[in-house]
Amino acid sequence: MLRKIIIIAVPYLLMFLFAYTSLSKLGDRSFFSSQLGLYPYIKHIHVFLSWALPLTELGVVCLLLFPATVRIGLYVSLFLLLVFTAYLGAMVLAGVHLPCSCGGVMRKMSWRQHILFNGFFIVLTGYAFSQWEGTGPEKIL
Amino acid sequence: MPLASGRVPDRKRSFDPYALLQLSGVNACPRKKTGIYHFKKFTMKKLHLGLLVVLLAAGTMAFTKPAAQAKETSFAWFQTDGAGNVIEPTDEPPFQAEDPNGCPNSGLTGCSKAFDGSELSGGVYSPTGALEITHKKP
Repeated sequence: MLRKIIIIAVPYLLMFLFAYTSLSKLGDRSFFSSQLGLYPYIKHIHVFLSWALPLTELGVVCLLLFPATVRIGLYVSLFLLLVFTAYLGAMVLAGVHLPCSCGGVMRKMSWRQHILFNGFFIVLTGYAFSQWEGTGPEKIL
Repeated sequence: MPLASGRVPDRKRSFDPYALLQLSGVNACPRKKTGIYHFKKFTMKKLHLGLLVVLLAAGTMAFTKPAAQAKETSFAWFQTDGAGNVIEPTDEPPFQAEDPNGCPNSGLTGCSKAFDGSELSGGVYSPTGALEITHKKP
């Protein structure tokens, strides 16, 4: 029962997370772009990333919206979360202390809190992805 | 001989009400719900729920503190010497809104400066990003 609840709820949780963060970033794109310009290794492409990241997140929301593409959406979500978390972890280990360029309330989190938050979603998404058997109601409900 | 609906009339009964309705042009057979009907119904339900979640996220964003205000809340604070040069500490500088050094916001000589961030380099922390605030002491 818990397995079915997790499998059904995870796509909606991810939809909420990515829709919220992408709309927050797009709502103040210039600030987001300037914040990205402070980050090492990506500062030279911060303008491109300020558009690409939120639009990619909205694309993931669209993938998770339709039953036929949920599995692909879960895969892309897992990939994005892993990349984000790996980059945050590298920054923390390198001792770089920068303001969070996150969207919305995630901005109030410390780097370690954000990594734990991402880790929680990575575990949930990975589990849902591994257990996803199909898109028909007879395979989920 | 089967009827247009595919149903074979009951020959044992002298009166077949369904056959009579069929002949009169009324479709007496109820619509059979196939698997595609259930799938379409399930898809629309999931789509509606998904759109509701997206609208909820957009509504939640409306209650989020604007980034312009959030930008001013946290800085990396560094002490400065009398000439205003940053003294690079070995410990991570505090990252907060208020000046932890107790410097006034006016004066003639250096006291502290606030930057967007800091980074560890060569065992000391140096400022990164733009200079946001300069505090001096008389």
